[in-house]
Amino acid sequence: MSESTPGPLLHIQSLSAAYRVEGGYLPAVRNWNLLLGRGEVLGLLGESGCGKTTAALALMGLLPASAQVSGSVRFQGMELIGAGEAELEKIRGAQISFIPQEPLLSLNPVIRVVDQVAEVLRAHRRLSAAEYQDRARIALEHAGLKARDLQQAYPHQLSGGQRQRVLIAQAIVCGPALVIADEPTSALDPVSTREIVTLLLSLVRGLNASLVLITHDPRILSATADRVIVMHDGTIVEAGPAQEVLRSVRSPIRGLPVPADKPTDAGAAAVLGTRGVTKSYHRRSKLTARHEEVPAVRGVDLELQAGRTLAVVGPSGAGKSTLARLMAGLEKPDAGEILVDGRELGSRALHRRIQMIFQDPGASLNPRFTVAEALAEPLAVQGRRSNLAAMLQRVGLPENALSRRTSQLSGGQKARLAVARALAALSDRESPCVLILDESLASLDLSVKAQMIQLLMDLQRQRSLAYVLIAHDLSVAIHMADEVAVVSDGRIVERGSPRELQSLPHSRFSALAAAQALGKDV
Amino acid sequence: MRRLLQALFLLAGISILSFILLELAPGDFLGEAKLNPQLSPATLAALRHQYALDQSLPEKYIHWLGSVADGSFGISFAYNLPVSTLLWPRARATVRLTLTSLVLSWLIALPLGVWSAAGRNSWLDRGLSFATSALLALPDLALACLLLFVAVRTGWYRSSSLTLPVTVLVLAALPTLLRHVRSAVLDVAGQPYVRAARSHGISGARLWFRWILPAAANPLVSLFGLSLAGLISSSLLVETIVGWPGLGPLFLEAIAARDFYLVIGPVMLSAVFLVIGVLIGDLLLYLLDPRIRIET
Repeated sequence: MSESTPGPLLHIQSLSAAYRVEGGYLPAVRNWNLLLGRGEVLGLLGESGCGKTTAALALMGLLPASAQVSGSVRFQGMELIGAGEAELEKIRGAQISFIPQEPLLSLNPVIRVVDQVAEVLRAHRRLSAAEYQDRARIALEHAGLKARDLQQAYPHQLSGGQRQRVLIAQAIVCGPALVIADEPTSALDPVSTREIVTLLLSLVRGLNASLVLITHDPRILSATADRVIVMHDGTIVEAGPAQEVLRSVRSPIRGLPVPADKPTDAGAAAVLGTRGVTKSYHRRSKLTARHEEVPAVRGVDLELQAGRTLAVVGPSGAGKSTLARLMAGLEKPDAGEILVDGRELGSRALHRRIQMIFQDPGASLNPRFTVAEALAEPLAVQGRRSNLAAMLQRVGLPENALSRRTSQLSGGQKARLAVARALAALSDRESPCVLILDESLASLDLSVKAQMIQLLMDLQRQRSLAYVLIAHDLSVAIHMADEVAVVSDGRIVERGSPRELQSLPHSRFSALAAAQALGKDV
Repeated sequence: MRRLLQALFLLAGISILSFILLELAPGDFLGEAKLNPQLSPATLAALRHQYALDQSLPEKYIHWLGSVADGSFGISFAYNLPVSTLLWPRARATVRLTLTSLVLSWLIALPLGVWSAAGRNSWLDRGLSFATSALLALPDLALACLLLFVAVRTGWYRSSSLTLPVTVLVLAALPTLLRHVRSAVLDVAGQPYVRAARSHGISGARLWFRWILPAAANPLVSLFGLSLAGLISSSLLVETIVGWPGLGPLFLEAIAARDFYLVIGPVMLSAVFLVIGVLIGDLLLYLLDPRIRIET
């Protein structure tokens, strides 16, 4: 698909970038060399924290002033590294446009989306007010946001996919020669992912522009990219035609050893159990001020023995998270009981044997805390002390991370810290403990996810932990769980070992798995 | 609507509280007359009755509520006039003073705060930070006296002019506003959507005033209402010092004379201003923030 136009569009030579941290620089991009032709689609693949975004920001001159950037980036013959801010501003958005990662956070909450697109145009072209609006509207239409009321909406009124379309409109409105899309689909479901990628590709081709598609998911590159480069730890480790490179990249989860079936000990006492647990939420209708009751969990009975893993799966809105919060004692059931070692959950001592790790491990860490403070906090609450370095080591974090701020950790490191913190909060007695993971792995890249699964399984073996895994991603459930409970509409509709459920052709579980597989093969 | 009702309750609460506090204060309007040997106890009792000072507190309060209804706000003992006739011209002067100061201080604080945030740690930012610290440390009273002294010395002070009291009030209000504007703007400047805007090439004044400032408006609007209330209360002091014919001097006089209803009048009036300020703030918030406007 690359055209034979004279001279490369982008020529990167030994580009390096490093962030300033306490006592030195932390390299994020090391010695990059890259040639990008006009009209070429380049896939940039790598796990989170490998420096993909940093590289993109570095070549646009958008890294914080404290960061150190060296090397050369020539764009259409012009050197960008060290160029003046005024010159860079003329190029950003007009010649090189950037589609940032989080579609909600990257839009201004108090400006209508059509105006946000018009504002990009205004930064680069002198037109009449009406023309700004018209062109912004056209760009939004090209990006697939056609309805007038959607164009006049504020970001919070739009869905994730619609917001992503606004960002795309912003990127194409000035007709750039290069579009850099940073994980444009990470916040989307599989169906929207396919749509957005197809759209992006056709728009970029229409402009005869080049596209750099940054992602951690090799699946979205196979049908789109001409060339793929793979990044690891700041360096380019592989580069070549898309099909060749992608063949060698395999799903890391499938690479993990499959655990042997643990012997079921039917006689063993359950460390965690629920008996007829029911919970409804009250909602007040804004118009009529009438209370309605929305049942979330209706009469769930479950049992979990020490050292085993129970996966709770089901469609979103089925009541999985409510069930998790009930089991963690964060909410009280309307009826029924939560039992820990056969006793009703209520006393502090029992609460200390259950810990929960939330959906986004990073968001539950105070960004101002250092790692040491974050770890010591649950201990201080319980009036205990412990060897923090050893705790870090147990989850595979380096000891020198203790003095770093939690906001400086990568996604995978935050997930590890969240596990370390949950382990710290579990009181170190002989008695078996329970860890509830509410979609805790969902936001992680595949390779980090695989590492976390390995870590969790190792810890389970060492400490005989019981896990409740609230999961949307069945591949994780299949891999880790001894038993799977399928929840639908607040009730458990199926139970069994993953293998049993997979072998039943008409099970709900198989249906869920099939739906996921269909949505995923982009 | 609910806000309006809340405001009324608040005003009722304030009026009752000020009645109780005033009643608890020792002495009354006739305190000094009592010391006059020429007045017989009978005359005093008659006077007390005439001024309704012999009534109990609830009686007084109900009596006063009646006077609120007919618009007179009670009778001033010292002037023997309805409080309203004394209050209104004074209140107009105070409102003129505070509104001018309010508008002026915000007009200065917004661009200066944004400017200071945009050039964070520049000489301008450091200079402003030093100046605001100094102004914050200086009591309003001292500032007023200082400026009055300078004005009299240099001779540019005229009693009818707004310049002096407005200068004092603006200087007193500015540091707080500036700091809030700066920190609110800096808070937003660190958001991902600002980095996104920069990646689109949006920069300079357009970035700061069109992109960042509206998103930072939320905490500032709440401050707007409070700043109005703050300005009213400091204007009462400043007016007294520079001799501005507003509520301040009248209020002070009324307190000294224990002119019961003439004290209640300004107290209630400034409470009303506070409530109005907060209501205006809420209204502005509703207009400025689509997240609030659309959800309600």
